[in-house]
Amino acid sequence: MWWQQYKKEILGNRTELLFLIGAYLLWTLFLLSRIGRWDEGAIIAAYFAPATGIFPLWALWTSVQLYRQEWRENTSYLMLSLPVRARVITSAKLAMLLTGAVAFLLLFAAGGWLILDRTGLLAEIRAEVFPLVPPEYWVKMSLLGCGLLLAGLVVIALVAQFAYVFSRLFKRFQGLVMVWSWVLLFWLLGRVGDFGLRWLAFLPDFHLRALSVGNGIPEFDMVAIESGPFVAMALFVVALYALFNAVLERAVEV
Amino acid sequence: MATVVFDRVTKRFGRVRALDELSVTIREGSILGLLGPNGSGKSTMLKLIAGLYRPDSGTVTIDGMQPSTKTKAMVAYLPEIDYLYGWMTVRQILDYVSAFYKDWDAARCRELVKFMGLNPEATVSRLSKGMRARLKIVVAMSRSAPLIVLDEPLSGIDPPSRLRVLQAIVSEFREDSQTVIMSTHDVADSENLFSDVLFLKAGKVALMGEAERLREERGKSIRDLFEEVYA
Repeated sequence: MWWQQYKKEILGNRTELLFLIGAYLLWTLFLLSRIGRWDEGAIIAAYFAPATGIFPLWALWTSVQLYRQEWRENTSYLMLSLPVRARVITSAKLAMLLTGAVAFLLLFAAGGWLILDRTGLLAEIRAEVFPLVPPEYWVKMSLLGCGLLLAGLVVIALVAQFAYVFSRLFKRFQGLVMVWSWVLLFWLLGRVGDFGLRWLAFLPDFHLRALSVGNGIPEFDMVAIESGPFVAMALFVVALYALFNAVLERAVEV
Repeated sequence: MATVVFDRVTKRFGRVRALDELSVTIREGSILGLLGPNGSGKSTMLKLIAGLYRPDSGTVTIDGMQPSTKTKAMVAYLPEIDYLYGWMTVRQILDYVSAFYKDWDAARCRELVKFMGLNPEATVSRLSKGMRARLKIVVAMSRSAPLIVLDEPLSGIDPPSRLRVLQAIVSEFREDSQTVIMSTHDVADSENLFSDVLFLKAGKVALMGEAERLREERGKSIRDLFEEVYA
């Protein structure tokens, strides 16, 4: 059942996904063709800068669209009449979003690698930085970065989706309810983080090896990060997900 | 089979009471014709059974259970509007829906697709209105669901499609294991299908009973009774 739902989400959004991937490939090819004509710094900025804006916007837009379309096209009649727990539907939609994000990240990394290689910057990094920093450190930090990015994406998606479905409980001012729910939830998330910092201080810290390079000598310092805010926010997100499922299953109407 | 009970159910939309303290028991094994003009509360009643609406007050129960995931597994619901994914093909729709129901009968589905003259490779959004109505019937009737809920299955479709839809309902109905509730405001085509009828008026019961008994007692056809009730 879950697989069918996930497959439906992927196939239903394939046009948008392919369009984004196609546009991104064209942009990469265009920038590659500018090497030697444009300044290297400008090419790299032109490659990396749009992604930082497009990626969260895409996540936000798609998160809402995944539910909005169901109501707009009346397929909510089918979605809500299926004999499945709401978590099957919500998790499949989140998984679709994550699939798109991972595909986008891989494409972005491959394109970035190609751009850095062709501009000659990769050779410089290889010659100057790689001998100083062990490769496993790069791999670990990259994985951590991707993990945090995807976790952030899930939070954005969940808040946006909850806000949309919650707004469906109201007959009027749905747009306003959605925007205010969105603002309120992010504000609450921040407050929950503060709460975790104060009241969950007894939890063990996270330890991260941070790299700094001074006079060409790399140094690793152990940085302690308090886990309380992360734990509190993670619990908040889990609670929000449970509430989201309850609203979809027991309260919302077609 | 399933018994559906509405106990003092009220459903409001703003100031309008679509259902007004409605109390009804739909007996097992019947084909109930839910009759009434537009706005009488027919669709609201069916959506409450399908779990797509929640009552403002009162309770709806299906075999003693309030609408939930469990009752949704018992109900084959066909709404009046187009509710299937337009980008899917007929085959994809049937594959998708069948994955959610244990009572899906693949052999019956194949027969119905053939009987309805549907092309499995056709995209849903490109089907004519009549063909989309036929597909909805295939989706609803391919199951051995104890309760089949059809909301205006004949609405806005051409006479050949109407005939096919009615034939499919009659041929697939199993009196010993199923209950069918079908709403319509067009009595002429479907009168002979119903074992029971329920006339709704402004969200309340105007008349209810076994179709044959009503005909005998009142000496009128259901169609004439319809005109009398809504005159």
